[in-house]
Amino acid sequence: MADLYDVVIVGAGISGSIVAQQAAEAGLRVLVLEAGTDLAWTYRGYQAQLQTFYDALYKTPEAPWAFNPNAPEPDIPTVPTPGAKYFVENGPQLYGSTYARALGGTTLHWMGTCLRMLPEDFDFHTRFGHGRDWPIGYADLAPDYELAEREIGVSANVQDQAHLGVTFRDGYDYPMQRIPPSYSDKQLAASVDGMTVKLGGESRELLVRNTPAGRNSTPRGDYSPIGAVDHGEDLGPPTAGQALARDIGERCQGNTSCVPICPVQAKYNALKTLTKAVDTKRVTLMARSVASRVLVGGRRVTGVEYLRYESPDSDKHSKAVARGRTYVLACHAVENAKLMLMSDLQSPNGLVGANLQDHPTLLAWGLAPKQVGAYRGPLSTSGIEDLRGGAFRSQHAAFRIEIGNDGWIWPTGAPDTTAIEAIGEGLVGHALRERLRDVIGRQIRLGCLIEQPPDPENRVTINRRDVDALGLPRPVISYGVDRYVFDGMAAAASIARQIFAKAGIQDRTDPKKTFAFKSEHDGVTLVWAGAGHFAGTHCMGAEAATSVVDANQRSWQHDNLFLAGPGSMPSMGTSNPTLTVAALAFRTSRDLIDNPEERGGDVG
Amino acid sequence: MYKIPRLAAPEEGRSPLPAGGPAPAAASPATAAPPEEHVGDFYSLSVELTGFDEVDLRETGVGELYLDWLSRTFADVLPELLAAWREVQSGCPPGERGRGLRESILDHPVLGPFARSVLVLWYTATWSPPWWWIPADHPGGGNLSFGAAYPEGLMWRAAVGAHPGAAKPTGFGTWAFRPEGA
Repeated sequence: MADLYDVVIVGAGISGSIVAQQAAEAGLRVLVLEAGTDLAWTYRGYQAQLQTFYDALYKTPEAPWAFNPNAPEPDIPTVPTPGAKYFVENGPQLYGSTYARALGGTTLHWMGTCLRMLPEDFDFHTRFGHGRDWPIGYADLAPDYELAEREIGVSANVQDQAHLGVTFRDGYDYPMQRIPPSYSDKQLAASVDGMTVKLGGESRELLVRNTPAGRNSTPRGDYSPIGAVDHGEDLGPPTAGQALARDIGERCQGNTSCVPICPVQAKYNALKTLTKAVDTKRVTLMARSVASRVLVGGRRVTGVEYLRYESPDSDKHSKAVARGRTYVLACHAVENAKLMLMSDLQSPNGLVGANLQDHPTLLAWGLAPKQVGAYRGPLSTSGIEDLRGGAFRSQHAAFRIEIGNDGWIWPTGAPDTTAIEAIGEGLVGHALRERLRDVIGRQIRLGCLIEQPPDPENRVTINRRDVDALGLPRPVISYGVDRYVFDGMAAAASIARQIFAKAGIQDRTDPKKTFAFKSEHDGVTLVWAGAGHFAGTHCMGAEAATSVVDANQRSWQHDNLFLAGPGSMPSMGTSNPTLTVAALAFRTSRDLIDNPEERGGDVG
Repeated sequence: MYKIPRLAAPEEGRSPLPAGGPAPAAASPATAAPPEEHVGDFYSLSVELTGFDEVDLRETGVGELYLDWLSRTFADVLPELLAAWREVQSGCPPGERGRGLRESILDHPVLGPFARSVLVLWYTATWSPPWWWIPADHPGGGNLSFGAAYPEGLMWRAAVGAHPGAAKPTGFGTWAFRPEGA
């Protein structure tokens, strides 16, 4: 007879870790199943991933983590990375984003951006006639944003962030002071601050604004920054957790590598929350355990069947069933949908897997008139946020503009390609060195994250004949970008050109020199990429008829089941989703603790 | 062992290498160490190619890694390259070696692309095949990463203020400083 846990959680990313930690703090016994490996759980193991990153030819977000055929993950479709392709791409567009299947989840290679959603994002359909509304508003989520900002350890100043309707409780400020803006940000601000642009017939004034980040900076008040985790023998006894390793990574050191791996773990990852969970002694972690079927009886989940393998090098595995009172699927948008569909648990409204979203990201890159210090500092420290909201959203998509400190790595693979191009031109010796001295430090990149309303045709399905090493179906991705989004992207491209012109930056955006996607739209070639921002495969809503989960991420179909994570988000607006995902996990935790077996009274 | 033709590149569309491709040369560290005289020639050629002086190149600590791999992987071309460079050194006064490098090596249909691949290796710590006709199963026939050397790519040193991502961090807040020449 298997152990009966209070809570069985599938997925050890940020959602699963927060729910595990909160439930365990409340005295519940928790089992966490993780499909991938737990290589990063020890300090030594995490550092080994850094070496894997050095070894990788293409330094993509997945590069530090070796391909695991037993828990495969997607890669960037236009880059020839090693390992089998995981997504079956059904078109019409390729889906350009990735996630991680490993202990710690995709926070192992997230950027760390922690913007709250705008109040108007929650009423998206009502206000602008596109997409869907949320069943809750900004005011409902604001207290959980505070909890999420403390859990992640966000560095920002409230005075920078209160705009476009975003408000903060009196006396509140973020746990740490803002990350200093880069020299490049300050140079751009000198030209951009106060410039006006036209959008949807309105004049808008632009401002370079500091970006809230889940990276350790200078703490405020009693907040103590949390650094690297270690559950091995390297820096202390096996139970030392982060007690010793936390002295590493208490502040960002400027490794210029938030994605794909922060070498000192000054950037938050879910291993930090998981450590707190395990320290309660009420949480059991099982890595290399792939959930293969959710078992149900009537309106109740009765177990999760999983396949346990010993090593990524062999498909040898055994099958078992985990049992609990309450179940939480927290294995990211695509995997949550895949697992439900594999278990024949499509909802009657057909919305499991539907409404897959991303932030299609327009890329623009140029050469600044003087050295700006490219390839130095956190990958981004500032953005232009003024075009995230406004009446124009009834006409086309809104966007935020992320200002990169990482030169042209993302669009072109620079500085390698800069060197190769110069050598290809025939430059050698001092002339070559002088060229690279001149241009590399002047490279600047803007990434315009375009909002994408939910579209039921954009969806995850499965094909049971197309399977991975353990015999589980690969996700089939149907994905398109519509005119509303492309019109927003075209507006972003125009504004990026205006910003470059104002700042004296030579526009070097060139569809022939990029790994990114190219799309023709109204006679213009747009260069864009996925942002790594999945949402919408099990949207929340106020009614069972039109959604998959309620506002606490509880399934409408099964009383003791939660589907947690970005899949619950009916829309993202222009916010990077992780902070909102973390806030929702706190909501879910309260509901789960108060109402373990059935829906409580208040879900609004 | 692959035989790389010395004098001329083959016609477009025709590879001079045997069909099917012989097995890669076995890597045997005990016998693979490059001859001592190659080390000095390799560095002096690399100085002329890269624009960095020998102290900078030696300081990277990865020159011998490159030379060892090149010696084993291109056992017939590397000696040709170094021999051509020795002729340039003996035939040209120091101030004219750049011209000699261009005429004897960079403009050569086989040695030129090979030398440029060596230059890319120094700058990026990755190998890209020098010739369109090199088979993909040749041990030097595909793009390769020299993992441990990654932080030592000269492109990071050439640039102003830059450093390799995930290595040699510059410290909290230093990204706000004015870079040299700004």
